[in-house]
Amino acid sequence: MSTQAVRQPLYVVPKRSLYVRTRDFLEQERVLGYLLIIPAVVLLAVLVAYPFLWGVYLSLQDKVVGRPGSYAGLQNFGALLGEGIFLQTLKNSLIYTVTAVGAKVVLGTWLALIIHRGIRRGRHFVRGAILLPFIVPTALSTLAWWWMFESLYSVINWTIIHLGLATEGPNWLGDPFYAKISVIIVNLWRGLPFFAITILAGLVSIPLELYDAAKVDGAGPINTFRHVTLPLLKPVLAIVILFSTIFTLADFNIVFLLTRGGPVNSTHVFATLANQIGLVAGKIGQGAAITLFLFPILVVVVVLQLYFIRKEEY
Amino acid sequence: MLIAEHFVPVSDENLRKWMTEFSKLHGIEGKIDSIAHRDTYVRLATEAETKTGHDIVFMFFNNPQLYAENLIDLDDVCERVGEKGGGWYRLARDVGIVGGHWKALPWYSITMPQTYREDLFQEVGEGPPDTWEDVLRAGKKLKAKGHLFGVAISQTEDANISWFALLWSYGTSTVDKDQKVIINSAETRKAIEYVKDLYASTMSSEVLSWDDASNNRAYMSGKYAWVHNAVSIYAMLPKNAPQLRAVTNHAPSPKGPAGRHGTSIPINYGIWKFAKNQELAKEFLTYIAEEERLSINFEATEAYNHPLLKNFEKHPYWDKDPKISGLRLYLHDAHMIGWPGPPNRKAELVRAQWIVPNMMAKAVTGTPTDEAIKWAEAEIQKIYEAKD
Amino acid sequence: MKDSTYYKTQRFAGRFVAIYIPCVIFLVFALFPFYWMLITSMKADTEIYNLDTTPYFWGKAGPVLSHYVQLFAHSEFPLWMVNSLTVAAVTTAISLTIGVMAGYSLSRLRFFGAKAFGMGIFITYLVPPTLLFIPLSQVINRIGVTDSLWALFLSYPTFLAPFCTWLLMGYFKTIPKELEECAMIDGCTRVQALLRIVLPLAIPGIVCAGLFSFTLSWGEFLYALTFILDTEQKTLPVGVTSDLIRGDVYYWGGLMAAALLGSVPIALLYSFFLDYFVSGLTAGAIK
Repeated sequence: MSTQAVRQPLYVVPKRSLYVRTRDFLEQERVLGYLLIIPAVVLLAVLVAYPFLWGVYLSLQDKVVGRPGSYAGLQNFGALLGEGIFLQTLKNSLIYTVTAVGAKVVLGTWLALIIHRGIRRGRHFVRGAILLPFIVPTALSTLAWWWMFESLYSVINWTIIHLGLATEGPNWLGDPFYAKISVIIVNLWRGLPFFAITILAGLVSIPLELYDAAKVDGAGPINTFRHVTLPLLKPVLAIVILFSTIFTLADFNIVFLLTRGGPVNSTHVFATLANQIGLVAGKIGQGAAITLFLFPILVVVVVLQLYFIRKEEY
Repeated sequence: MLIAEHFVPVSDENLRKWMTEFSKLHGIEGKIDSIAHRDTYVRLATEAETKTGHDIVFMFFNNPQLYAENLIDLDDVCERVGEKGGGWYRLARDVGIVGGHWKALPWYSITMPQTYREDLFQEVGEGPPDTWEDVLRAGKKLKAKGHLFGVAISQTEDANISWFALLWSYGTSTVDKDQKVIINSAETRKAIEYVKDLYASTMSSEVLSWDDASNNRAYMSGKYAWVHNAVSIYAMLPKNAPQLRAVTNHAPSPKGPAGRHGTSIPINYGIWKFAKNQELAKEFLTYIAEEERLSINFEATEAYNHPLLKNFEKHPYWDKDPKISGLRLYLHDAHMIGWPGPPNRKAELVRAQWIVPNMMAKAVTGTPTDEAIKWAEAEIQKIYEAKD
Repeated sequence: MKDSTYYKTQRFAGRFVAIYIPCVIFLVFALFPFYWMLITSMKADTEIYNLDTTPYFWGKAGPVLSHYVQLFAHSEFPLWMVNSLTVAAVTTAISLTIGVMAGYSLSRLRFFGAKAFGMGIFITYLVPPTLLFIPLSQVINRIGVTDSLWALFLSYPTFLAPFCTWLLMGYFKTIPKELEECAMIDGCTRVQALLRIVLPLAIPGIVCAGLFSFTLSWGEFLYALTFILDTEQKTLPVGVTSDLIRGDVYYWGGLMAAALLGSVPIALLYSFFLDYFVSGLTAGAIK
């Protein structure tokens, strides 16, 4: 940080060039800080904040596509809360998210532990192979799953029948219960890699001395896990759960391509219902309101988790 | 120009060919963009809202009614086409005319007849199924021999199409022509009892998860002997299951106590108000609606593309393939979803929310008939009572 | 004795059950759909619809390459691949740049409202695209870039940049401040310190954020569908689904072939950078 320009010179010194003065000004923490985040802020303000506010405005209107709407206050929201299909959607979304994320946490941790502790050779292959479901575009991989669940051609049912386990496979996409399971399975398939690899990364960074210390103290594998591994994994877990919850709650493709919300609305989630009402039927005001219902739920989830993370840091 | 990928590819090829010809004639550059028909709703909504996009757009079902304020009047084009073609069917007017003006040109309608395995029917001594009772009887016999019948009872377009046709043939519907909800009636009850019977004795639980392509696939697998689907199966058989083509036949939608009714699936083209080349667009629409071109696509798609003009009843192609000739008069008794009520936004909401198929699904999976009807009635009432 | 064969076998058996079997199960779960996609993509049409052939292998007709041929010769598939790759690469670059700048700023520099901005950036993550896309398309129109890849260049960073920022923030926090301060005492400007000292140390995090962004961008569907119509500008998921699904006819062979070809490039990318990916996620996560 330059001091020459500020102090009264006792002797003549050459005045610093404009370039240097500007550079020094910009280098100050305060200014540089703002400068560096300008691109992010501009991008997000124009392309997210502004459309978001517009979306909120839409939801407060009694609007259909292509026509200007009239202000309707919270009417859209009120109407939704009385609507059977919407309440069902709410229930579905919560069940879907909680179950899928829960399964991903448990199975992801387990898989990460297996790879970390058990696999020496071939580790690269396993890690790469596990990642594959995450890489394929969801729009395409879900189609493959759909064909695998399809009532007539299902490869899964074919296997079940030919292994003699049952005379008829479950109706994966036609029975409300199984439809929910199918959707969760595909979500699990796609999201497990993210959990497994991230948790694996977390495991790798736990110092081995801690494990040795635990062994010396006579701790068995379960206790080691509970008292050594888990606490140190908490920050990683928290972040992964956070992101996964956000993505899963807002998910559209998987449900839409597999069941379109059926059978009898048993797998509708916010995004698919919003699409049905807002776009197909054109009642865009209501569609926006449905999507907005998500927002407060997400904010609550986020706040809780961030609080949890912060607590762990200290 | 925006179109949806056609189910039978050759129709698209012809359309593109015509666009090239037309462009050459007028010294312009015309372009056709295509997307999956399921995604057209997203596109239409975006274009209508942002007031930019294509000049001509594809509008399925009764979308012209929904977007009427954003479309220009096409009276001159449509009246001329109608005159040359021997007059429009009434249903074409229902779809295309809003507030007294033509808002979209109905290019053609897709016919949804019965598609069935003639050989299997003959094996059990059945002729072509004419009424719903015929279907039930034949179905029972064929299920005993391991062949199933299928109609989608799920949240998919085909389900709406089939079940509305059934309701109409039993003399009932969602609303009457004054938009009063009439679904809670004795006729509906009879219709549902029939469907329950049909499901239990001729179908399998697979139909509860069918989507629009499932009946095609099911039929092509050889396991199914009867489906309610458009001519797309017949057209795709040579590629996927050639051995079935010779033994497949069609019959018009079955008759019920209140007569024979079919559902129309119109494909329309409209021109946005904000389109920059409105005159040229209008000319292009006239161009592709010329009788010779309609005729080319009609034949090329084996009557899948069924123009809504009365002259086509006399078209020689009907006689060329006996398997299709029975469908000649389909459009006489075809209606838009929501009939006898007007095909407006409320009818569209009923369609988009799968209320009728879900009512059927509830009924066949154990909900008592009255409860299922009451549920549907409540849902439909909510829609029709809301402000437009 | 601990090393006797008996104990060794017991331990091995234990490992087998506890480690190898579950591992194999996970691998099967993850990879089976790909195996199935491979088989289907090479099956003749008649066999795909034939209930009598086993789905696990080819029937009498054996493997055929017709679907792949159709993809390359009769559709714009190569073009879509190029488009997707371009969009993914460019948007990743943009998001990483924004992420590095914002991440550094928010994690190192103190200025008024830093915490608030950090929160704000994160909150935008919570807004679902299904709400945004119509208003967003209006904005894109006003800017005048509809129907060109630029629309995606602008809109994709909206969901890529926040994640990059967050991840890199965490990563930067693990790099000791002393390093920079030393450099500055030696006469470096702050920016120079950033470029020459911090960034090289942060490469794992950057690679990780980059790979994640690339993946998200590669698979994105909604914005690509809404903003781009010209067949030649479409990205892979949109092009494939709009071309190979016509009404009620699905071209399964082609769809599966496209799905496979559409995941190969990234799989290769990942296998190169996997170690960086893993270490990047660690440090970024444990802030």
